[in-house]
Amino acid sequence: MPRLALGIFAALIAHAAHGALVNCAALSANPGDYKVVLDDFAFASDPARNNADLAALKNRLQFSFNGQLDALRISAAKLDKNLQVPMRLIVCTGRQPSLTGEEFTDALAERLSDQRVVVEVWGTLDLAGSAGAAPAPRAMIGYAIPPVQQYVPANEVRPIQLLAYPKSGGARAIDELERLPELSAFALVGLGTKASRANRYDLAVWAFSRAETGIADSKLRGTNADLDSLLVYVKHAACLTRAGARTDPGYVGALRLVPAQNCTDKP
Amino acid sequence: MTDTNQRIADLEARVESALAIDARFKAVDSELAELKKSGVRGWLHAIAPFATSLALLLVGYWLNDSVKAAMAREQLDLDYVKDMRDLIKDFDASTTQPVADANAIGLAMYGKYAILPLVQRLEGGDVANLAAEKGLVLVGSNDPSAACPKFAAIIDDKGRRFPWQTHKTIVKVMGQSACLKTIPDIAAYKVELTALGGDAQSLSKFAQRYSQPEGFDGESIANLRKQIDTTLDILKSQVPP
Repeated sequence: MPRLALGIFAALIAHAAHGALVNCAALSANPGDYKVVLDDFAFASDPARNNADLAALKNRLQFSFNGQLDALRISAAKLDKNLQVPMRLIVCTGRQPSLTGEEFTDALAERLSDQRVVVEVWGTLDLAGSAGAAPAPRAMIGYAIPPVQQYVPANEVRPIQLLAYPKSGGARAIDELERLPELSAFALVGLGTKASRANRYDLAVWAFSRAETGIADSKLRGTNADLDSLLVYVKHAACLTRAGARTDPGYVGALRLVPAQNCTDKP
Repeated sequence: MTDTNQRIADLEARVESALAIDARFKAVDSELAELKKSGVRGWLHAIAPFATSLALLLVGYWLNDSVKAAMAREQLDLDYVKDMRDLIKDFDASTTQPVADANAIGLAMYGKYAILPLVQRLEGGDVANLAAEKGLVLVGSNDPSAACPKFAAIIDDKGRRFPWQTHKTIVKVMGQSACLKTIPDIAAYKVELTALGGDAQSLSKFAQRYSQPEGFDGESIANLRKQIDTTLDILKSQVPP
């Protein structure tokens, strides 16, 4: 049922979303950092475009995302002062993928992953309201996780997640729209996947653990099959990473002390 | 008597005729001997006054021809630069992947002249990057003899001019361009990557060959090696037995 509602919402505003995947030259800068790519959010209609609250919301998103990345860095440092989270926000002005994210082909995902992109987020902002009530902001947000698309078979996990906001009503609605709470979780899934491939076991396990918590929280606000499969993937990938750390002779960190686990259960 | 006199007169006439012929033969022999004596030296002697002028004429003609060809080549290059400049501007302003692809293909029509601008655009983000790869495949397929050595020079580059992602894309393009003569270059690259192992220090040292060594890690090595293996498979399957 949630999928049906999502589909109807997507279809309603799809006509207004102009798919324009302009090149994002900023991706090539800061080659050592993992990147969260923030695209240019679109407006679903002229009233939405002219709405001051929505315009302000769009401007606050970048500030909010930077704050979330800072929070992740602080959190990692609290856990282990040597654990660096080299992740930065890249803003791609004018870049507006179509709502379904059909531009994110496997070739593009590989290219983005090679540029160390852990997640790309785009979306459409709109106003909606029942008769007599003031229109309230809402959004359809797409998240592409290029490392997952590159390394995980498509039949196991959907690398592109589409979520409608707000999930909750009342006072939390605006907070959700401003924070997009799933963003951190999806970014950490991408980060964990890449860090694991680079044998950065501590960073990968930390990222997977945080992602697991974030996805579990997200499921409390409203779940769907895509989130379920992503959570299964995260747990399995974390297990494999710990196992890899134990058997890697070049690794001397704390994960060597973790008891062996059976990771054979496939998602 | 009369008959005898007549016969003597005939004989005298024949003898005189034979003597005249002999004299003419001698004259011809003499002229032939003169001609034989003159030979090459004679010719040289004859043209000596004109030799310098003739040499100058030939050198001048050759120089003129070379200069004309060089100027024509320069003019062609200049025309290509003017034409390509507009295409490059369109390429950089592309707002969708299909438009970027179309512009890259337009650039690729300039053959080897398009290689450098397309390689440069491999470093320019993601959409332009994918389009540039398509353009390079087209150039490589159309003119492998000109393109493959340039591709090999990129992966052999020790001048720190390209990021590792460009190396990876070029290795892929070499496979798609049937660059059979570059198999040793690609195989040598693989040997170097294999020798790295998991040692962070040697990895960091190896990464110095790239323009952006910061982003090169264990994941990059694995991806680069995977692409090299694929390319070697493609190329080796085309080597005649």
